[in-house]
Amino acid sequence: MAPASPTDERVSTGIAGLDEILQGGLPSGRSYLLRGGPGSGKTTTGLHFLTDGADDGNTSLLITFGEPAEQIRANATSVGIDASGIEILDLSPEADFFAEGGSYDIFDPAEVERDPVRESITEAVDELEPDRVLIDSITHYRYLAPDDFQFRKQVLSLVRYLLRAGATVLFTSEATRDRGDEDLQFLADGVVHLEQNESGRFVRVSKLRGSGFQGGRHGMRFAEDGLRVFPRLLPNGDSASVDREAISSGVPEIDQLLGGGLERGTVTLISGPSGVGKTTLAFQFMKEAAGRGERSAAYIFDEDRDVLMRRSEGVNLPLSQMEESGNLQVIREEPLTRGAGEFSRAVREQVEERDTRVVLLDSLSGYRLAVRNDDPVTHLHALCNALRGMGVTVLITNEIQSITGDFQVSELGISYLADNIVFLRYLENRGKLRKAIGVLKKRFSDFENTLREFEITSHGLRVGDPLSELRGILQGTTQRVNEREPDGGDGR
Amino acid sequence: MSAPPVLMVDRNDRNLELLAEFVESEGYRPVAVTGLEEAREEVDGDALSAALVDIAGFDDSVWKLCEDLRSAAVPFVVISPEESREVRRQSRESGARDVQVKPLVPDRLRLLLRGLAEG
Repeated sequence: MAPASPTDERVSTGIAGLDEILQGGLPSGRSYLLRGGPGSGKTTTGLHFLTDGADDGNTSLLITFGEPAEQIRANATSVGIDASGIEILDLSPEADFFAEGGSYDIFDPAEVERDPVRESITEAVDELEPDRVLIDSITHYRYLAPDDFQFRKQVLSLVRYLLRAGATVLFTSEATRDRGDEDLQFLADGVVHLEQNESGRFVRVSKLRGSGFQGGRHGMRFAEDGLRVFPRLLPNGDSASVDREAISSGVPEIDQLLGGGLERGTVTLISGPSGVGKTTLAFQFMKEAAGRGERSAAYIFDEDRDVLMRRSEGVNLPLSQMEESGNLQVIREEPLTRGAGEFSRAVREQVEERDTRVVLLDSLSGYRLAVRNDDPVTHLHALCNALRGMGVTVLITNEIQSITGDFQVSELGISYLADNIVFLRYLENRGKLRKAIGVLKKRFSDFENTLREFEITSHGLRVGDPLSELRGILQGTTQRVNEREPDGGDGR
Repeated sequence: MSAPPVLMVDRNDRNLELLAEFVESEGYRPVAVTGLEEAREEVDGDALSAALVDIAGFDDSVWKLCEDLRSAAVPFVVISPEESREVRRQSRESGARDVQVKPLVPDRLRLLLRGLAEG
């Protein structure tokens, strides 16, 4: 279906994220199929394409077989699209058809309607000479064709006619389980799929002649100005070229544990049970970053923002002050408001626009619950890779359900994501609940292979000497080295 | 010479419109009626060259009209909404030249009309 002289020129879809997936937009002078179920956004996507053309001074023509023109304009307005610059050829059934009993059976509709439809279209195209055309939907032609062969022939000839007139053509199809549209997918120069399920809306490109495209499913959402597409993140930059400078926590003992600190462009999993101090540790790094004049961003999924800010003040983490000075942004992510793809994009934009050097995701399970997606871990992986390439230090807190007991780093099987793993544990000793910190993994440097006790006080984090006098720490029930029984205090 | 008149009997107005367009495009003068009484008046009046009778929606009195067409030596085709042995039998007995099942195929109708009008 390509025109006689294909061009490298691109035509914007009117949706920035979709243009990105298409590596700059649709190759002009070709035809593309927009397919999806009812309510998936086909017409809206087509309207973005047409209004983008109209805004550029091109002539855009919508040929509608189903929805009447006034309804299309009204619906466009309701989703934030101004369709006033689009020409609409309305071939939808009129209300009079019902009122006046306009049905017939003497001839096949294909015989009766085809010529008037053809004449209407050719008349409109001759008059307007459109640069962009949307046919909504091409499925209507199935009812104008007596058989599949005729349908294919009619669609091919219609599209070729429009391409020859100089247009870039989008057409929508209404495929159902009983009647697929594989024939249209073969005919088109490109195919864009729109999907909608309980996880959200997605767009996927499966074909684009003459161009590469970003595969996979990409998140999509209705915003105040129409549809927005959030392409999956690709690794940004060469992580091998990132300066692996270690950033300090501001607590010498923690830096010692970490062999100097956490390297830039790495992902650190801070793992431990509820209330042990994971978030506090993460903000300690951010406090130190603020002291260096570096910006941080904390995405909070679990906790109320005000509660977090207040309790942090109580442990010498002046988050409000850090926000006021512009060194920190604490962003509370409300559950189910955005998909994983959109969230990843927002984080990357935050890093790019504000030169953010440290990013916290608190917590991993909160992230999984909050973002609407059926594959959040894959998105998280892509986000981490992208941030690594930008030299950002990423901190992810991960809650372990068990307070004590057998050691676990992650219940979600995601420790492979991390370059570094810091674990926090409760331990019981002499009837008291104490806390320990250790490092399990450090990709770019050595680390101290001991455990240290730590406390969270009103002055901040305090970390003690290595707990060399205790054993069984990882099991949560300790005993002193060289003692046979757990230490109950009376020597027996 | 004026175009030969072709009577078209159909209860559906839109069917009649489409049939009339077709008949006219083939060079005949369409005479369109929706009721049997009107149809009888036309049979009694002008010399018709042919007739198309869509039996859908009529009761058995439509066969009386068909007999009247035969008596008036007007060749006619019965148009039926479905294939039916009974309809074919009654059509044959009332003098129809042919039975066509809807939807009609334009090419076939064109040939039939020509055959009817030219005797």
